[in-house]
Amino acid sequence: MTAPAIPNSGGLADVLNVLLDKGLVIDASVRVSLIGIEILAIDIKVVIASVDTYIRYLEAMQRLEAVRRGMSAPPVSQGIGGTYGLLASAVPAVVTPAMVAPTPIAVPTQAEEPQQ
Amino acid sequence: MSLRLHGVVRARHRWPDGSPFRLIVVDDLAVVVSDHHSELTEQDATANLAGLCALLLAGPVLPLRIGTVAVDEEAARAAVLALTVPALRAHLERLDGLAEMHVRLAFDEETALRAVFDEGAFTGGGRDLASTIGRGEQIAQAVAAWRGKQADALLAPVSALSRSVAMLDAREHTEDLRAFLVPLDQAEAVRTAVAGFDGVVATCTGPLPAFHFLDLAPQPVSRWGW
Repeated sequence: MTAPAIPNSGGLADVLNVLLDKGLVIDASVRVSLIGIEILAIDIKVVIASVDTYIRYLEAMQRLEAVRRGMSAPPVSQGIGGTYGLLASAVPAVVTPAMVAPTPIAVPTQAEEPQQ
Repeated sequence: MSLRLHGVVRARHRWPDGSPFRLIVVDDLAVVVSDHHSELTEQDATANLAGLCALLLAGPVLPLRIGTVAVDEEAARAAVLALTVPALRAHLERLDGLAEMHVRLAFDEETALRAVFDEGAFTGGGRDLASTIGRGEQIAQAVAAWRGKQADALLAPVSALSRSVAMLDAREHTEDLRAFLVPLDQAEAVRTAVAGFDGVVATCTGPLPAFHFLDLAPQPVSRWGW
């Protein structure tokens, strides 16, 4: 039998956020009497973009429905980052370009300020 | 100098070369520690986890909560005693030869949405933003249910190799993340099975200490002895 390979650091970094609140914990009441036992926090960034996802899903359903009826499909949605008519772009970093088909989206140009 | 506490092993645990840790023996157990110099970073935590994974190949490891720190060796010993030595001993016995493997399946969003659409449950849009979000949430639940069924079917061979399974929170509705408790000598078989999945982006991480299969609560003992 060959020994299993130790996971690489890239894979471990991916699973770290689901392990942070796991593992044995010294009971809180005991920790008080054990001077100097503490749990440090690690700053792990988790992006939660539920609303963005919900809107993207609904728009995808509308697109599929339009295709089924032979109507012209609405533009491909990109959630909050590029959604059409629901919310202004707020979290562009959430958009995953690989997940959406690149469709030209009309970007309104800013009206020029009148010269004083 | 304060210490980071990483896990509990048997005192006779065979020590791998180049381990960043050292042991503090408590009875027939030992707490795995390293020096704590500064604030715990993500890189530190990942490196510590890699060290624990290396220890796992030589015997069972009960991981402590990541980021546990003790001011000195005496506090580290007291921490192990607080967890109660007999319970730790029993869990080392239970987890001997076992490891946790994480499998993440990322399904294609368009495929998932089309499958949900084909079920015919969702047409039209919301009247306002709140109802739009509400309908989107219902679609997300349907996507998650579809994903769960797909994952159940794909992961059946992995489940068959496992002693236990824990469902974990994935980041997306189209993603499925599970922890499998498998015999250490089946870890490569799990990896091979996952590598063979078609139609989904599948990743497998492990063997890891059994973070999701620790339960130090007393097990009910049958009055009949089994």
